[in-house]
Amino acid sequence: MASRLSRRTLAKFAADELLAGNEQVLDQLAALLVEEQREREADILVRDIEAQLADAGHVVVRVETAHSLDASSKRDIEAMLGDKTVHIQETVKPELIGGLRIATPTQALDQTVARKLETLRMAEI
Amino acid sequence: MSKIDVTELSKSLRDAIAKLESSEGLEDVGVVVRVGDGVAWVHGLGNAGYSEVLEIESPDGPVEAFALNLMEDEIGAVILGGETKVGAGAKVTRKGEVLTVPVGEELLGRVVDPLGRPLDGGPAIKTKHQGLIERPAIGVMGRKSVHEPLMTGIMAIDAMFPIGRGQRELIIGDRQTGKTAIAIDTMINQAKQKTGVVNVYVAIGQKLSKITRLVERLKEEGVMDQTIIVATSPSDAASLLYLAPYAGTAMGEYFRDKGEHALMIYDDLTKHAVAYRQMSLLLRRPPGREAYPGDVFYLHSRLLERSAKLSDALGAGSLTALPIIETQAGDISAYIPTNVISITDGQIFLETDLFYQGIRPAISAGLSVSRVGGAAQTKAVKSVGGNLKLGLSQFRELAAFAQFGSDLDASTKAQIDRGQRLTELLKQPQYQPMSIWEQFVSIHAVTSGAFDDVPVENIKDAQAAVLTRLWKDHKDAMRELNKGDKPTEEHLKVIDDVTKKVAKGFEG
Repeated sequence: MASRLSRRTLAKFAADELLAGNEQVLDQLAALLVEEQREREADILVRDIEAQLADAGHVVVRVETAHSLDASSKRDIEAMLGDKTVHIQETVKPELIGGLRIATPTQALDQTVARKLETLRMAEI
Repeated sequence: MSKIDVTELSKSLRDAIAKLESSEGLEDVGVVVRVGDGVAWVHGLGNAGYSEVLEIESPDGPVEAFALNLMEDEIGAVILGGETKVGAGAKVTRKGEVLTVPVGEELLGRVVDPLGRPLDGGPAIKTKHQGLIERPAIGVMGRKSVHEPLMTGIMAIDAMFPIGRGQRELIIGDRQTGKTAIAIDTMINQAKQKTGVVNVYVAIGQKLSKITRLVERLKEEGVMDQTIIVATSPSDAASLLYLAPYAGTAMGEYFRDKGEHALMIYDDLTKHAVAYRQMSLLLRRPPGREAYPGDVFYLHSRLLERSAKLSDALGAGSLTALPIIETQAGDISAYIPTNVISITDGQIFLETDLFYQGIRPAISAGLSVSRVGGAAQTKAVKSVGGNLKLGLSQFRELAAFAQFGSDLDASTKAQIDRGQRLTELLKQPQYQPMSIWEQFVSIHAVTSGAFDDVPVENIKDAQAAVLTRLWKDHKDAMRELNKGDKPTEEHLKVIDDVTKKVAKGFEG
């Protein structure tokens, strides 16, 4: 019986193929996950692929803010991540009140007002 | 290849540091994939280190865990305490440090859990220092050989299997044979003799009622002020039971490294091994013999190697360890007992048969040993300990013939009689540790022959009478003897005179 490939191995393979321009690798991955009944790992596998792409210089950044980002903020975010190609996915969430929340595949920064209020509430507890 | 310009190298390094610092605020995060049985499986955190503390977000605030399984796809982190608060999908961050525990004089007199949180209802403990729970043992050059006695106050131990400061002496026996009693008496003796030794008692999976009784007894005896108790009950998470002895050792090391002396009692390491087995199996580590993980020896060896006598250059402090192991049906050749026997510098073996015969402490003179021996014994007790051991070993050989009383030759009968009196003499009530002079006088009274005509059943009364008379009439001499030096001729004359006079009143 063939041994199960680890998620890290699959993610590295997929990232290398995507960088080479082979988009069919996603269909192959999907087929593998279904065959091995590992559909539940799909979300985690996406994170792993994004982490591998980040290591290779292409970072997907999810930004949540209370208001839309202006060009200057986007440039600051890109500068924060150094010499990498940054792809920003922006979501506006008014409940954050102010500030922003940044998440890369492996790191996060939460400078929202909602977070600060929550921290104060927990300190009181 | 062009010559490397040192100034450019320095600038490049500084630029690289500045670039790293510019990403300040971005912290490594992972996510809990699944949680159960005290283990959280975390995806992400590829830079997490072994035994690093992780913080898991929960509705009631962060819950700490430490990373024990660093696998290719996920991390197995053992949760410290309330796993019910942790759910799948929770965010996990690295704390960037390994586990530490508060250490210092502020802990004296307190009952705490392995993370230093008070359990005695007292105020929160604020210490100036933190100690590493996992820490490498002192190297060879930082040690000195054990040469100072640690008096337990138990005559059988101090005379035949003396323990020194910095030694590891295992207390091993079946359930209910008096293992903890020996440890408690040793702690009480440190206060009674004002030795200045700090006690750290680590209760691993012990019933809370037992710990409560222990605390009350220590308070009654005036020992609690120089004692720290690290307590875990059977209902605590296995992770806390696993950490308890290491946390206690960190607290003891604080005193050792200051040049003072501390005594560690681990009660008991059998439960510690079982808790570690539970954790390892839940972390899906491959089971070995008796389902214990392959590193169960290392679990105890790295703990006990931290108990040592330090060299003069490092302050000459010491950390003595009395680990306790519970056997099943007296089997000292089982897996965990043999492991710990091979690590320690001797063992005190307690037998159930002796206990039920009324010989308490139920120490087996044949199977017990102290590998440090006379180097850690006071000269006073050493001068009589040899005769005691010889008398008992001869008695053991002849014990089977004791039933043939009238058919034996005179010398055999004399050895049997002497052995019976020595055995009776070594019985000692709990919570009554004996000082050096009391031990010397008691053993000398029997080995010198002064008590040969005292019936066996009157030996303890005769002993008490001799000690009372000597303390009443010759207190200064006894105080002098209590310093531990070899007795002078004057001491011996005084003791022999009083012993003979008192013995006459008890002869049959």
